[in-house]
Amino acid sequence: MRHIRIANRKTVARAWLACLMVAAMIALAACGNGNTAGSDAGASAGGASSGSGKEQKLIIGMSAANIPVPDTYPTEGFEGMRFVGYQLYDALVNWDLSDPDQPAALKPGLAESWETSEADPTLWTFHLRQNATFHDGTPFNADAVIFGLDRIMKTDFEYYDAQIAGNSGSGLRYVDSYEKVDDFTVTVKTKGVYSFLLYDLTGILFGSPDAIKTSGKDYANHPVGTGPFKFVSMKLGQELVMAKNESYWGGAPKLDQVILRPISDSSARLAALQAGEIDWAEVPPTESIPQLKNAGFQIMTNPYPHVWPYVLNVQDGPWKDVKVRQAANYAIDREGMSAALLNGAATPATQPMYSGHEWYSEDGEPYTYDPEKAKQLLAEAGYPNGFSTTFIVPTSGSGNMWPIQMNEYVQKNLKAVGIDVKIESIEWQSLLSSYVQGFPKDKEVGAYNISLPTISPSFYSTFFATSAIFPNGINIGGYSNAELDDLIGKAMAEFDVVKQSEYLKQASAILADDAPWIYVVHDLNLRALSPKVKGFVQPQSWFADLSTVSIQ
Amino acid sequence: MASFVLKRLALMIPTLLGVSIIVFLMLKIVPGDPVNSIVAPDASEAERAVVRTQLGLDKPIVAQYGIWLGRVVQGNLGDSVTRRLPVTELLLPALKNTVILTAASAAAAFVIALVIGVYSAYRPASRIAALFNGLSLASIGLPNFWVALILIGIFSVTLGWLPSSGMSTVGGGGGGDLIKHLILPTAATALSSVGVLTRMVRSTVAGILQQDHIFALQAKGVRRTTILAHVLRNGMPTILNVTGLQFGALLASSVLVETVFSWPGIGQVIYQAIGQRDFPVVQAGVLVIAVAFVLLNLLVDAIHAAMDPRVRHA
Amino acid sequence: MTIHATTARDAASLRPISREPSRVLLIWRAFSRRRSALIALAVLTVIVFSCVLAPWVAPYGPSEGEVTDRLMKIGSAGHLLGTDEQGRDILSRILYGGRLSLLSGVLPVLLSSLIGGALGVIAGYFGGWTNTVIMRSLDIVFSFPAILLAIGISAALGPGITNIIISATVVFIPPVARIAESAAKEVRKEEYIEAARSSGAGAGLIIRSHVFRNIFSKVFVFSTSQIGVCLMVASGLSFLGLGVSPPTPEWGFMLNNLKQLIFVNPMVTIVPGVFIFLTSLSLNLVSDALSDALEIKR
Repeated sequence: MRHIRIANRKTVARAWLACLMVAAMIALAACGNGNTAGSDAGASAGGASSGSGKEQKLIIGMSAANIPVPDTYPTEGFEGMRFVGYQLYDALVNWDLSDPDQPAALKPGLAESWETSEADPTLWTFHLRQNATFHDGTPFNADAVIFGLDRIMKTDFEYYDAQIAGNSGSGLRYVDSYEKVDDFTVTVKTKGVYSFLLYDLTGILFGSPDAIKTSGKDYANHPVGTGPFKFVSMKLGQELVMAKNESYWGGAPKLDQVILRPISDSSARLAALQAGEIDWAEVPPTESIPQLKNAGFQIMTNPYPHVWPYVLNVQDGPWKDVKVRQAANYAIDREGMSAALLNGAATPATQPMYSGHEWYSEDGEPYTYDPEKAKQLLAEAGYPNGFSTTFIVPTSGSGNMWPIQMNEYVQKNLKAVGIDVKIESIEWQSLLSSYVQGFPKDKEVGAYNISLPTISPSFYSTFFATSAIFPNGINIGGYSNAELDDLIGKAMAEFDVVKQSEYLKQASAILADDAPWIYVVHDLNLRALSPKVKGFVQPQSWFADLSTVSIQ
Repeated sequence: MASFVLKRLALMIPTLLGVSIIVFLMLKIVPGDPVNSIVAPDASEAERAVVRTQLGLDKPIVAQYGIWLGRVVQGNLGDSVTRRLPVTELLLPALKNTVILTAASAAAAFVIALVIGVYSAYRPASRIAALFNGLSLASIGLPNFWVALILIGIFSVTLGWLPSSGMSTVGGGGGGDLIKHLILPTAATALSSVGVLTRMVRSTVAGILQQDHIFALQAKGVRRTTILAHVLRNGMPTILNVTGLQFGALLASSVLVETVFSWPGIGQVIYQAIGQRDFPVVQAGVLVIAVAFVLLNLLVDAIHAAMDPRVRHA
Repeated sequence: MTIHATTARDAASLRPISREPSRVLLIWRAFSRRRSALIALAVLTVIVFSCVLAPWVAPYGPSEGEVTDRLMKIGSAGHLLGTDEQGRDILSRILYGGRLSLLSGVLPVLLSSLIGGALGVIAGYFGGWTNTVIMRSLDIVFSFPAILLAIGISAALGPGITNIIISATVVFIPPVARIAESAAKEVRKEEYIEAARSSGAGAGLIIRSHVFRNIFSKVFVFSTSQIGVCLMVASGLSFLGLGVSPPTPEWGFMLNNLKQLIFVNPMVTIVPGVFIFLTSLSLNLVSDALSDALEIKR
């Protein structure tokens, strides 16, 4: 080293100068780009476009980890249905999402009207919309309906798709047969009298037969529906672009473009919203609500048919005893969770439906936060010192809000009355996979924690009917109650909505008293919208109508 | 030289076969049925069986491996179970994104390490060298996912200069936009490598500076830039070699950074696929990275050999 | 390599040896010459002891706290490092959590040193087919990037700290085995073994006293340098949600949980990361100084 000192200092200095300049240029480039980041985002999101004022482009940050596969039954759970399914496609029967003051009702979709036969209530006739066309220009008609149903129901059909069938097949479980009457009339025959059919049909979307035939396996890359928006492009893991369907049968939407971005991390969604990279963030961290409100963002919440429960294993172990189940329901501080932990982004749940819904029952066991009563019930059931159990819970996933923290909270509540819960957290999709296989046989699991939309009356039969006990269905807890089965049967056979609701209300009361689940909270569909997003109605539904939305 | 590469290529084949077996078996021991992530929760056993047959999941394991390997060799990595797309269509764009991030990180780490490392070797006793030495040591202990969070906190949330996630502004695109999105993930990824590389550059250069022929050059009064060039030429094989290995390490460790920044890279694809039991994607993804890793090592060795004849004949 | 120059002394030290005190002392002297290493050792000692003694040191239990006290800032009365989203004291959780984090940094290195060291010695000492089979198999494992392999194994085995320890162990075996193998090979060639043999020492004794010590020091130096790395790998897996289940505290998982709050209470979010960093940095500084000290000693 001492030898170096002899050499010319200037040359070394020059060499270093060169290095420094390169470094400085890199740094400048970085800062230059950095400085434009904010203004760029501002310009792209809020920049003026032709004539009509602001550019009508809405960018949504989804909670899904990836872009849903835009086939007729999109992936990524119901969030895929919400943002891709109902935007690209229609069902015969659609959800009416226009009234925020009552639970979403059904409205005509691709079927303009329908009726059941007086003589045979299992025979339904659907009169199809004559002015609906697919995005590729081909007309929507009875052939398209038959094609779509064949794709799901007819295993020897050339375009039968096992995956779509597997996903949406449950919507056609009570369908016995279907038939084209004329170009715009289709009949459907159900297995037995089944008044819930219209609800089930909301999950069956129709793609263009032409496109499905032409694209074959590649269809999901070129989806063609009848919906208010049409598919433009998709970059996996990054974005899905949809454009206005000018000739939508229900009237063209106001937005020119809807862009979906999958951002699974809620804090990342929040950051993107604050940076102006997205206009709409699904489920931001609840902590940020006050901060967002102060900054002028619109915070949207509304109750809707959804519940965040623990599905108990009532066939084995301590949960077999109704007193234990009630004890657990009394042990939970729902107010504390809703108000303090979730900053009001959820409301307490004491039965499947929320207060205000027509299927909600005032007569059910009123689960308050009462640890003493819980301990007493446990003692009566023969567990004065409590017991240990395992809950399988999701790490994230649509409608689960902030599952780990919420589960820790419940864990602590239950621990306080002597129920020692071991939490086993797994990825949402894995949880769904494992859920449908029932409770594990090789280890003792007391419950699954799962987020469930309860939009359809078939919810009661799917999750609680004796006929649906695993493996015949997904009543995996094995809950069985003859009185409930009877009510469900009556509701299924009842076409009068008022009477039907009365039966379901009674069913709710039974479900509260019997407590096959630990009811915890109802999600409120928390989302944050940029101040410039106008005209969105937060419905009492899992779904969202984007056709009324505009940018100002 | 060619024979050196050929020999190394031949040696690679059993390694790659072993890799493929491990990858294949690793996922076969995973509990859970991949069919469940496709069909509806209330699908019947018959519906499941159809899907299972469709996916070839009903065949014995050895046959499944044989079929899989046969197709892999032909460049067909199968179809994603959940995405309903050929795996290559899913992985190649993601791999490209990861390579962009990794290359940017490796390049940044290389340049910074070279500058600091050479400086520290020339001036080992200076305060600045001591500071850099401390910093580089510190950076090795920095968890990149944590750095990522801090960077987001500072540059996205507080200052609002840089985007916090993704790799392009929606509807945007172009080089400037990409660079803007690249800066934070690159910084988070590069940091640990900067430490490793700086220390290595410093010791390599310091070692060369101690050699007799450098003293001789200096005694002859050769210009310092010439000597620096000479030192770098001598040290470069080693430095490039380690940088190459770091590139491989960065390639794999980017999964954590990708998760924090929602960078649409292969690490994120694999991580999601693991959770969703999407076997073909996980298999292909891990295989692709492992193969890239093996090839990269070969490339690094080849470059090293080309630059330094001693290695070739060793 | 220094080994070549030490033949005479090693052969000399074959005599009944009273080496330990002076050897340790020499290493300590070399080590303690570095101020940074001493500070790091002190930091490490404080962290390790307060974590191990958490039940006596921590102000609260790891699950204690009311949700109404949530999200208190750093420096709040009674909560030096604030509280988390459930209202639990973060300092207490850090101390309790450190036990698992430290364990998942140390245990895999220990296990992989034992397994990898044994495999390497067997391969290096016996050579031939044994060597080929062992080393080629390990090469295959080594051809996976470490983090990817660890994630893969952890994911396959399912979440849990035990599975993190297993997968980290697997990841660290091949490099240890390589070092042990080359050391064993070199040692086998050394003349002093011949010397020892001709002086009448049995093969078993040779392996035990010399080969072992020689290899041990190399593996030891390498392994200590890996603890910090392993801590980061393990906390990374935990950060991805492959580790502990709630309410068990662990640094990586705490970071994962608290990252939701980065926009609300950023300082609190950063705390677990500070501890991962401090520990890992201290470990690196200590192992750095230690390896230099051992080098100088030799």
